[in-house]
Amino acid sequence: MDRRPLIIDGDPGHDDVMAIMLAYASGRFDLKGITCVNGNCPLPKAVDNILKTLDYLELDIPVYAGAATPMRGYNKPAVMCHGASGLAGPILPPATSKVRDMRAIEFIAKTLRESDEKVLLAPLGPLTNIADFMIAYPELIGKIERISLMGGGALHGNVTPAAEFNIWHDPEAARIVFSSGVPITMCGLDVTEHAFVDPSDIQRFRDLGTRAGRFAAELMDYYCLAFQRMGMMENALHDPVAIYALLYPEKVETHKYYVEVDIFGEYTRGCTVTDMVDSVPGKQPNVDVAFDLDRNDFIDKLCDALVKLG
Amino acid sequence: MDKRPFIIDCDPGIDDAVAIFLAASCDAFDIRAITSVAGNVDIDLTTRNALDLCHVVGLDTIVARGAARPMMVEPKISVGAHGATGLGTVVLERSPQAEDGRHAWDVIYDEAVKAAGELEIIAMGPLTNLGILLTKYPDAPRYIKKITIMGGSRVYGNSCAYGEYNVWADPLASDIVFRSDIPMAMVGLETIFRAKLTSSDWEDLFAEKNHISEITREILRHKTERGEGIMDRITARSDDPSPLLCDCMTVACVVDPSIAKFERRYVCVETAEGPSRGRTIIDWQNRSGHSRNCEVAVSVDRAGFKAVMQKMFAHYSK
Repeated sequence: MDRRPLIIDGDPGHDDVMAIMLAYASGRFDLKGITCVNGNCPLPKAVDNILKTLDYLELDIPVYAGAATPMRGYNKPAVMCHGASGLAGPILPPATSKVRDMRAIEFIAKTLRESDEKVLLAPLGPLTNIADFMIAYPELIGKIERISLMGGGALHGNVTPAAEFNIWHDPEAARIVFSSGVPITMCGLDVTEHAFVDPSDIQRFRDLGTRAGRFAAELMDYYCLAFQRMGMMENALHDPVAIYALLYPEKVETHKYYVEVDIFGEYTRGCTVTDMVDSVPGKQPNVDVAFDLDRNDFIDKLCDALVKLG
Repeated sequence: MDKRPFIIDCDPGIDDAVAIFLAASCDAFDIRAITSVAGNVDIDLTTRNALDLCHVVGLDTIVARGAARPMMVEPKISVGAHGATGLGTVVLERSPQAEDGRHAWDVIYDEAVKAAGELEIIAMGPLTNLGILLTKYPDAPRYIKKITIMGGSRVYGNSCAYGEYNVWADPLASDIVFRSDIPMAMVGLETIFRAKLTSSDWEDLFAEKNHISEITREILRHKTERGEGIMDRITARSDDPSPLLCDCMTVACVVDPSIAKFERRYVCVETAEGPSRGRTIIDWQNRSGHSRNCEVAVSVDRAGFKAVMQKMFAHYSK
């Protein structure tokens, strides 16, 4: 079976790491590289986290550094969920691999330019790199097959009542991506809240007996504890859903709607305004919005990946 | 039993008409005034309709003309949704009563002071009159016990993705009301939709034959179902073209609060132009740190609502 070319863009990030493991282990992608963006933690930490993780798991995937701030220049890391390092929990040896010299958007451009077929993008963090790429290389936008992103929420937000963190972190970037015409699968809070892990799932990761399984269990222990400390019961494993939706679209419930990113609202800035009531006649639905998935299968596929990685 | 003093602020409007019938049938209510606002149709029509509706239902009260346009934004009327007169094809007997002559917001203030803190308001149209009231009379909150609005929504809107018409039509006025420290209750579009009566419910209700049930039946004939079809899909109801009476259900929740479940939350209004204008942002998780200013209706019991309507029609048979 042909492996589909894929670039993952993320801000590792506990759940970003789980997503990368799922993508790599599936064997169904030609994972060209990982581009890092500022989001869950500052960019240098994101880069370091991913290098350490790839070295630890002995995965040979090139890493590129992207945007250090959102398009408008300010900074809002999600220290509460991910710790100051961005990957608190497991203790990993220092990275020996180095980040590549090429900037993230140059790498994306080069990959798309040189690829015979269209390329998939899986953005798991704020959309800064993707938007920067679209602005710098508009002639290559047509070489994107589909964007399957973790972000947004049709029904509600998390960081504010209306907005989800990734879109909230860089609303201008999100607005550019969502209005680009590229096919988009939006794996927002509506679906990812169904993709939660509970203590028995974490034990199952541990009981797999592999290094990757133990690593995942340690990641999830910290991740769940962090949410409990914030008084939230949610243990949703957001980012892997974007990969799962590319691997098993038939297992994810989606509806196509017109989605516009709000950059104007005082309280709603950074939310994905999803027109589920057809209130603006004539607007073409532009996004496949995911609402639900088969959680048991999702956990099973993660376990398969953690076994494959060894 | 002391009657509760009420003012009903509305933009009749098919929906408002039936809501006025309901409020007028409630023995516990002492309706001090009906105030009109532009909304469903223009201010001349909403004021005319308010007068004539009071006349047809035998309600002897002040009728005062309110705002012709929103506080800041351009007015937007849904053309055709309520027919040329605002009451579908129904022509009511013209009321011999004249408008009060005072502005709606001055009447509301005067009655609020007179009622010494007991006055309650039900607002079923854009909140312009209340926004003007609070701007002109900064001490008005001292005298108003509670405002219940038909407005906003948990998620699904009608004027735009998340914006319900009444709040969307005058976001600044809505914002002022929600920030006023007056105790508020909000019965929103989605909650109302999920408790919508079916066509066969309405047939049961119309079995009670009297002047008011006949007029109601005629008025409702016009109600267009534009948009509700989509709501049916979202709420997984079968495609039933029965009319959605938001204002009526809101009054029913005041007449009999046991038919609804409310949760107290901090609610604010998005006033910026853009795709979120008019959205009622509800802090379900209580993370904002703001005090909870509004009882949000999260569900209404359809059977309970039907019973309130049944009682109303029976009242008019006497």
